[in-house]
Amino acid sequence: MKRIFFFLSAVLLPFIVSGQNGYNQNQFQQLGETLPTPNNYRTASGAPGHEYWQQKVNYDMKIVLNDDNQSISGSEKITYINNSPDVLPYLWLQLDQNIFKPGSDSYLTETASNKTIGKTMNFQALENFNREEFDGGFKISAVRDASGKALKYTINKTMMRVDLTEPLKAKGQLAFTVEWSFNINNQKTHSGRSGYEYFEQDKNYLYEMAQFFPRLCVYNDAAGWQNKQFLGAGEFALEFGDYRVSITVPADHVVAATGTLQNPDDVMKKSWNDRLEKAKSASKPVIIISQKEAEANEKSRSKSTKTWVYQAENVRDFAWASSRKFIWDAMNVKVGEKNVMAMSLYPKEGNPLWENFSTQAIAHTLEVYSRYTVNYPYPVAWSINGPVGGMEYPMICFNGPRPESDGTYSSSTKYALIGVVIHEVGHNFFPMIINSDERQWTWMDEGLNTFCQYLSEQEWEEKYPSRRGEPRDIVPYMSSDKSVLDAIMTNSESVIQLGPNAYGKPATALNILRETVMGRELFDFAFKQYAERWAFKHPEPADFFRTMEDASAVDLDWFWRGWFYGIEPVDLALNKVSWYSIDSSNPELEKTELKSKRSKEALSISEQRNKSSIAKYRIETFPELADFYTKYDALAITDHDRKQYQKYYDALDSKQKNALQSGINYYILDFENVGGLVMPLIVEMEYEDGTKEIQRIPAEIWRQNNKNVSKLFITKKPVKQFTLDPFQETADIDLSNNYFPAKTIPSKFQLFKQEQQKKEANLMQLQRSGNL
Amino acid sequence: MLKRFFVLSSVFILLSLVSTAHKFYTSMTQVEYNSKTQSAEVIMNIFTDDLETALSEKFNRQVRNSDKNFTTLCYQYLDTRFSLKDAQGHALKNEYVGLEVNRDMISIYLEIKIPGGLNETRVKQVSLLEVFNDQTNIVNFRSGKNRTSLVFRSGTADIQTVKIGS
Repeated sequence: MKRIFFFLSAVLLPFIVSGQNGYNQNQFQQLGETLPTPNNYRTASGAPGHEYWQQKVNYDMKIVLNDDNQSISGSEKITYINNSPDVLPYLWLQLDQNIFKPGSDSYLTETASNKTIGKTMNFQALENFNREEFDGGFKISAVRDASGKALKYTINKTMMRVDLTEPLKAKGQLAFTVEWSFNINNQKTHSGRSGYEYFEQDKNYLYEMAQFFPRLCVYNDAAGWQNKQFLGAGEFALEFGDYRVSITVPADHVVAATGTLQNPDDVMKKSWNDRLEKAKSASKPVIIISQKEAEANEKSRSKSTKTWVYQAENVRDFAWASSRKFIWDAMNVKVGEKNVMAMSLYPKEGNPLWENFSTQAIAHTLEVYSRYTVNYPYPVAWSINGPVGGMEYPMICFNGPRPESDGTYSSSTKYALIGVVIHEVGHNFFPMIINSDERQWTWMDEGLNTFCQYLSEQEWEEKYPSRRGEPRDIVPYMSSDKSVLDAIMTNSESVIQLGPNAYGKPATALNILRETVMGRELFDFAFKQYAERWAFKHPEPADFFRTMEDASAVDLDWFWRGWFYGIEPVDLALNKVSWYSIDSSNPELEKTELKSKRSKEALSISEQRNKSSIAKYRIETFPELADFYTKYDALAITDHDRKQYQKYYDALDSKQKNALQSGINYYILDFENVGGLVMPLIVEMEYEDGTKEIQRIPAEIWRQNNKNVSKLFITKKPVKQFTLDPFQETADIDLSNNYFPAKTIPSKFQLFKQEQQKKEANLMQLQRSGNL
Repeated sequence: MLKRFFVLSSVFILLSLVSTAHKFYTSMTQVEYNSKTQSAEVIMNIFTDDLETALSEKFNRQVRNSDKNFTTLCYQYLDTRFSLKDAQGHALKNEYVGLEVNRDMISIYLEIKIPGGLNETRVKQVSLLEVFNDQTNIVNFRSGKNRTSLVFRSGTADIQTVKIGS
């Protein structure tokens, strides 16, 4: 135990050790030079500027589904409204289906596997060859101006440039038409974000259709034309507009789509319409088409067609689903003053899982997300079961999980369904409403959405098994070698591990921001502010970073730099604790203690051996060698000592006398930033009497020295154990250096080995067979 | 879009690679050296549906994680795909501790006795590489304060050597 003097007021400030080796390396350097310069379109506060503009594109489409050869043909009248200050000589359209064209870049840029060729060709390699034979991709048959005159167009892979006869003036608008057809991909063999599924048993098709029409690229102040080619991973950048879409399908199909059905009486049975009317005020799911009806319907083979007309306002895209197989349920969700219909369509293969959870999960998502972002603005929200594992469009999404054929399901399948429905319905907010550029930045929709998904899942039931969001779950990724990591701020197509990079890490970072850095109140306000500012607009990363600071007065540049621009992990260490207590100056206490301490000091090895080896000291042989010093005991308490102390004590005022008797402990803790990512210090002190106290120190403690800091803690009671980050809220990749005194903590492996947990099987199945 | 929740309808229908909706073929394996027991403690995290696909292909029938003998099949498969050899090139035995399914991930726990430590160990982690062209297997090693990672994907060597202090 060291001692320091009583009159210590200067130590109440944190000790900050050593200097910095260069301004530019400081984690707290402001981001201003990295972010784009604010302008009249986007302000330095992160809000849209006073001259912010965006284009509007309206579509009037007629689509015909051919169920006999799984193809569609379509025509669209596009109205392009140029709100930009620029003159546009040409327009760019996206032809996403072209990734299914033989020889597409998506195929060509696949990196080859050494397993693909050779004696042991596997099923997938075989499938890849078959895929090349699929005649996919858009077949454009006409592009005409409003008067019907052909417009010149050029197709560059997944992009099509339409050259205008006259350049489109600023604030002007024009209309043109496109006609096309394409073969629909079998999603189960060709994959894709949409496609069909064939059901062998009843010989029916189920279609989930998206990217099925030539769509305008975004033209804006940040990217100009966003015509970066579609390779498959980077999703979409799309303009808002109004849609009217007529979809002609076999008369016995049921069609769900973005928007509101305009002609229910023409296409639906009266009984379905009546039930749908009831569902409009139902607080629980109501069956519109029962499983029995769907099973009867899937046996039908109508030769005639029906046309379903859907209309949607202010959406950035349009998707639909069609089949004979659909069971349909629906309920009402109150969002603010508005009523929204939450509805699900699924084949019997999805039951009973789907009727139990899908529509309720939609309703839950709309309620929770509306609270954290903006009120859900659309009239419906669909969840469709089909071949696609999980994919989102405005008002409609496609979700994959199904139970076993015997109707049982494992708990992982159950949570997979609830999780994917929350996630895909959640995408209505990011990026369908808060319309970021997915082609460029996956994290802006996936990361923010996964964060809100985590919040929603945690409100579904206690201890909901969320895959992403908890800091400890990102640790394996964060502890990987830097060669396999990318910064979150990396283009979508170039990310090595898109799952943890664009979903897990940003979602966790936001959760840490909310719980540990900003606090819920400041975070929630700022996050909502971002959603409100950019609803129905095109935000960029800087708009998010700036808004979060602008609305909270928390300097977060270090946080964005570390978590979004960097790849370093959090590894904070508590290296040393020095304990200081007050010197009472009372000889009775101090000298006695020193004496007892001395007596406890271990003898050196020489001293121990000398005890037996030296038979007689010289001083014993010649007693005259002993003098005053031989006998003097420095630790003996003298009258002089007592007098001195009394004099010292009498001179103290009452406040000082109290402090002297309080037995206050001073601890100086030495922290090291081993990982590189600066974070707040959360220190738990467990006292000798078993009680605990937490001190939270903002990350700014590292602002002058990003590597080492020391900090003084003052406690009334002596501390038994210091723990850094006791609730594992910083994603610290190494907890073994978080304790003082050091503590061995059992690893996840050792814990598992102790528990010898049984693997989680399909417990429902076991129960049915009497094995549970 | 979420990482695939893909339901296999038959052994012969496997994920293909354009994989727009299903892009993340990644497994992550944590190998930590326990100097007390002188063994490598391994936790392999692998997507459940990917592993089911691989097992279905290997055993030529549809395999689900709810199957009674799933654990056995899993260990049989991993014995051929994941292994360590010590610095002298001696093959080491995978001692399986157990596995747990956590939503869409399976964690497989195994232990490998390796008195000489992790440095210069030769590692093979080619799980799923025979099934998915885009599969990436990341193996993170930790021995005391030292860390390193190895990456196995198409085009990388099947057996790689760990360079790590002790």
